[in-house]
Amino acid sequence: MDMDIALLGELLPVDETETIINKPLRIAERVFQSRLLVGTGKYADFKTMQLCHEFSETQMVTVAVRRLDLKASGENALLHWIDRNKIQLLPNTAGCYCADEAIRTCHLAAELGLSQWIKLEVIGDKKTLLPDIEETLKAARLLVKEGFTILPYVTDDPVACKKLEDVGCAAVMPLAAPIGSGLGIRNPNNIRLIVEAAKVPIIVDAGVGTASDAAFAMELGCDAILMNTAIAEAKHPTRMAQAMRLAVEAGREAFLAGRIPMRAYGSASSPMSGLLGMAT
Amino acid sequence: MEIVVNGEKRTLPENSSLALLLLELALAKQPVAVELNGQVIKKQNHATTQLSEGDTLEIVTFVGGG
Repeated sequence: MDMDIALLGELLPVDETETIINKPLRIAERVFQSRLLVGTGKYADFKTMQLCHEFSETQMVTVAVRRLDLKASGENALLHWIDRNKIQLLPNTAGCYCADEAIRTCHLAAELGLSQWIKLEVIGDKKTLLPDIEETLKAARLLVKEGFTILPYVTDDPVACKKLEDVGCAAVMPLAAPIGSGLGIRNPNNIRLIVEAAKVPIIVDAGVGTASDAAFAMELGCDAILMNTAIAEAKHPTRMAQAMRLAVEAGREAFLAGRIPMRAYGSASSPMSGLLGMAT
Repeated sequence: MEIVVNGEKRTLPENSSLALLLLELALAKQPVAVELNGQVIKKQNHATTQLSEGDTLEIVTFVGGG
């Protein structure tokens, strides 16, 4: 009896015949246990960033390419705070407004010598930070030919996502909402259509605000999520990093488990027979 | 001679190499990539790349971003 009660608190053994095996995420030739990609910007300090990376259990973080501060000592540089035995770098082309600028940034990132993987980001509008699809496609085509592994940030547009897959991108990263907006998944139907059509991993990038947004994206079948602001600007960033890890895992499990269909009316969970005082 | 590094003017002795400039800037502690007049200069060519009057250099590294 005592043992039965103790067992209630533990996870039930999973019947493998009834579950879809949760395969690790595979992008290009690499395999990741974590489906949460995290940024390195906007943290109060590097120590907080490092803790957030630990709590999130991320295996890939984005970094930006910028002019070196010639007056700084270099002692406190970003890379000192990233454990590259555990975490792969994903340099971005943030701040680029045309294909040529993005390509130039990629060449510099490659010369830095730590990654041939690029988060391709070509912005089309300063106010919304929405991507310029024409320029993104142009850059992606060329960079794939040059041998880069390209993960493009793109509007939640199934046609644009398919075109990026077709030019050889290793994964496609549609936005949930504008960068840093925290608005969550604005067009779940589009995300679902993108996932359904894709043969490469779909990573929701940008716009996630809280854990339920991340879980929702994963429930829609996305392969992973990339976020920065939602963690870095939370009141307690490390706590949010942990929440996001759990949400991504929960959403993934729910997707694999297969949710029930939505019904307009009630459907009782307890038997309707054997009710007290019922006429037989 | 005068050159421009990351948007700032700098004076260097004539016939300085790129490697010498990087040494002077004490950039050994972190990875950098260098663009000279719009062309990326690979690390193995830093020592043999001579700088000249009016050159524009961009020296970049990785910083935090999303």
